[in-house]
Amino acid sequence: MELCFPTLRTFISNLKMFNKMIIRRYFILTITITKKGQTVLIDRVVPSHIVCCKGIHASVIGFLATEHEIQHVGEFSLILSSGSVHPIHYSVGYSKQPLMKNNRFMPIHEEIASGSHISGFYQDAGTAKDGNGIFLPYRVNIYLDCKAQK
Amino acid sequence: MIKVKVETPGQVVRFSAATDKLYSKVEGIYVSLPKDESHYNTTIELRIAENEVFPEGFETRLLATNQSASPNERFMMFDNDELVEAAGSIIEGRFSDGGYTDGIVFPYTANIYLKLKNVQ
Repeated sequence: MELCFPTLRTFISNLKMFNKMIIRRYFILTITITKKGQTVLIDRVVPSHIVCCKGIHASVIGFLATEHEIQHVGEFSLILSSGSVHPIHYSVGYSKQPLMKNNRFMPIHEEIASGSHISGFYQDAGTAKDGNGIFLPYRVNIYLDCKAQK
Repeated sequence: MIKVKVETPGQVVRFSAATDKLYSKVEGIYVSLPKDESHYNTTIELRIAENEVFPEGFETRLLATNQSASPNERFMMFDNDELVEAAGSIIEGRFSDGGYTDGIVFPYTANIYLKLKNVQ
């Protein structure tokens, strides 16, 4: 098993001893932005069977009628395990090209306490505009690539 | 390879298939659509052998690459020890077209490629 981090090795071994399978689970947080400069608070309970997360990817969903790429549409900050770790505070961009060469998740290595909260915020930068400078509402998906026990 | 025919913008297509019995493990997955823009807002939900692989709302563009990637690099690979069982497993899925129509010709066919491996 590719582990989230070495200290989890014993935990995973114990799960295997008790015939618990470790499987991949994606956890998706969808943020809807309707106003320029809007801040959206994030507070969700992580499903209790998720034991660790090993990757994060955040991107704008779908098509925005902008005339160019946007390096910084907004930024997000996530705190895991009910406030005990703060693995990421990063920007979200928008590309008119729907596909990149490879869509890779940013690696993180965080154990998730059972039933804990994932919290944080997304803040819009006000840069999602059309050619006339009118703000374009959009949605962002924050994907967490996690491991769960079955 | 699983082929999913999309007739109209925004259509939701359910599909099912079975993996090749000669191979024990699904190693990776790659989704190809005729035009890159078809990936806007398009999502896939997938279960293999009754296990959730991708949840509702998972964007297909995370399972695709542009043409500058070599064929072997286009797959989203599962972890080495992650068992996504093949060997005749039932694949069930739901493909939701994103509704983007500019320059997209309907109907089109989405191809879902599974990379299989036989692990002893």
